[in-house]
Amino acid sequence: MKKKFAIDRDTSMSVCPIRRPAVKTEEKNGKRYVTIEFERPRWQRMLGADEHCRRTFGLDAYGQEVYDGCDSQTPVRKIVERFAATHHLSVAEAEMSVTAFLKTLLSKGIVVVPLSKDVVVKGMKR
Amino acid sequence: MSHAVQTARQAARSLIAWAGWRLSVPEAWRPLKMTGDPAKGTMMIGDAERPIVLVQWWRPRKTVFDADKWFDQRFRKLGAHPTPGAPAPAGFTKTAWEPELATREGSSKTVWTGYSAEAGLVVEVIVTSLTEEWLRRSIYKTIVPGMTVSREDEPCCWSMYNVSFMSPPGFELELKHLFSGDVALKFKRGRGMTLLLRQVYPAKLAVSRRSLERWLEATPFIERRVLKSPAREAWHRDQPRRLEGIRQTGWKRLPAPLGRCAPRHSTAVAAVDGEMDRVLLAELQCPADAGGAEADWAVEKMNMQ
Repeated sequence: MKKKFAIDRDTSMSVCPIRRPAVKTEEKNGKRYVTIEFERPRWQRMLGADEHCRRTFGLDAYGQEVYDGCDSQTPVRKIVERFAATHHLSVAEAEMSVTAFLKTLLSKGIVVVPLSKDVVVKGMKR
Repeated sequence: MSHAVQTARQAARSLIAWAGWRLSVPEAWRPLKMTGDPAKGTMMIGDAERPIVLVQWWRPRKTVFDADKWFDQRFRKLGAHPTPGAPAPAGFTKTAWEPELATREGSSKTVWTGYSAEAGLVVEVIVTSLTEEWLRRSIYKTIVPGMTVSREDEPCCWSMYNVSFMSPPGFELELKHLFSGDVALKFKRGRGMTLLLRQVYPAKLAVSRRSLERWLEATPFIERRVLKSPAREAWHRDQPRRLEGIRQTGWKRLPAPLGRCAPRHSTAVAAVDGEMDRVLLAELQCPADAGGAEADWAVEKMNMQ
């Protein structure tokens, strides 16, 4: 069975997510549309696809707040606390919403999270 | 996490209140699991990493409740004798505890039990040895002594996740709808009288998707009666905080041909709290038109604890 990669909560709340550079940003009807360039997988390139592709993601006001917080300097914990304070939420609720959204941003490749080598090795062993 | 960091985080407080009892706990703590009903139930409270405290409550049915006898039986069942020095919060007639109760697994737990005659409530707070010693001591030194209870003739506070409601005296909790961003409680009193309290947030998003009138129509609980042609007027409060919204009154009836059977007079208030960015909703239904002041009062009291 394939092992799942996992890191502990303390580490995941301490990392500083980084926004991937956007090739284009557009504001329209209160939403921000961010276009990011990705490298295609090798098998797609072998089938004749271009080396790079572009994908556009729309962020509402709350999404923009979390996205803007991913500045490589602010840990996830701080992003959660700031979100809770701005919207008068409990830290627990803000943590649920912000971490769920960050997982979505990570899965889409819009943000990345730097992890040290020993954290990665420890995560693989879990 | 270091003790110093944990202590700092515990300085900020939040309120957890349910079924007549109220606890001021560190901000990071939240209800993890709740079972039972307002007459008898349990609530597991913890932080993001683990459960910390178990609160159990029970309302004795007997008119004359022999607290001494019940406490003796309770501690005999636990296999312990109460140790002197139990924390004694205000409002509790009798308290007892066993700080080092041995468990079958070989560890220990602290069990504190309190009975309030005014509130007609027995509350038990249990902390296992999985919780650090310094935190266990802190719970029984500061958190438990700060516990308060509501008398049966007093309004009752219901609070968790920074969302709080006050129910008027005599109203019992019937239904709950607990979701992040949409919390609703439905109370009943006697026959035919119900009070629905609800908060939806963030308000900017809620109001952009649905008007306040539509929010009043959209109840999270099954509602068979329908309100037709309600009277609406603007509603606002300036003190102690600014609330702006609408007040709606009218008769709710069952669908035809049962329209004349058991109609209910509805008084509903929907207001936006701009500061907290919340939509506050309350609806009182009665067999007769009694003014509906409870709905106004309930909205004014939301998030004021």
